[in-house]
Amino acid sequence: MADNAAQKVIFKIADNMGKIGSLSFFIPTNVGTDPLVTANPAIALLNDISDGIVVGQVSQTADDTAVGTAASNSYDIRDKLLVEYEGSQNNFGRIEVGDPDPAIFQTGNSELVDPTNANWLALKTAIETNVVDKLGTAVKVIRAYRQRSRHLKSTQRFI
Amino acid sequence: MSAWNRASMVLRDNLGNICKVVFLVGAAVIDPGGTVINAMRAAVQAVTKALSPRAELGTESGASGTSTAGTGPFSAVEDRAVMTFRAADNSTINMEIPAPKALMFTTGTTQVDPTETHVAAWITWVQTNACSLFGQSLTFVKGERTRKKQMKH
Repeated sequence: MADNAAQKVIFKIADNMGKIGSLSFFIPTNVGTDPLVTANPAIALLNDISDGIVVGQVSQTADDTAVGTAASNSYDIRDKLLVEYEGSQNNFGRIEVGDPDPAIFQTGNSELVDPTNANWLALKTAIETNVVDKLGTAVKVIRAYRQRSRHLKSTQRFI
Repeated sequence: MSAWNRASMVLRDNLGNICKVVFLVGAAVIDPGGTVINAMRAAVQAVTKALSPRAELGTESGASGTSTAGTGPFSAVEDRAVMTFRAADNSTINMEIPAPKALMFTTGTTQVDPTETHVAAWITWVQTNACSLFGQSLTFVKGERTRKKQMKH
């Protein structure tokens, strides 16, 4: 895919038996960053030619819209920064960030994040500002630590 | 009505391996390149050595429009109208419409009728708003009814 050329939209479509199909297409980046806004008028047109109904929409930014650069360090994508948070009904959730920067952990090869690290604190603030639980309520970060996940499947390699 | 949408960002390390960072955002957030998701991407990017090639957002609350599925002869999602478009660089894009209505096809055939009013409106929308992988504009070539393997519930 060309860099920054097209944004993908996927409509999840259900039939009268509840089975799910999908329809995908691309929206050019030069019309704006929100492909669902551009794609919204297509739903009514699709209703005219399909017996299915749109039950969900997925949108992606253009591919290779890189933010930062991959760098060498002692961890890889299997190493995870696990951030655990608590929702409004005391339910727990977690966010896993792959290939964490070793600098955010406490010295002495600790698995625990350094509570004074500025980048960690910025992430904590971003999560508590932007992430919600399934009631749509803001969450509260409880703790964060390092863990290593299973081997990657070959299909998870970026091509 | 869902109170949340599901957002994710892809992370790729320097060996080319990837993972997804998944989080929930408010139902009003639908732009994968908007303020909320960009703020999360920037914060995550600051604590990882991987890079983020793209972000994604999925709604959980369906969409405006028809809310009851039809019961026409091709109303299972395995039935498809495969509409072929040609991009300006001569690449091919196949767009599969699940559960097509019978009106899409020329009577007595499996061929899509591009002159039918609703089909023509769809083709016009695609040619005006959609593009190929490389951002090229599209031109309708042909369409045909087909059927895929059984879908899972």
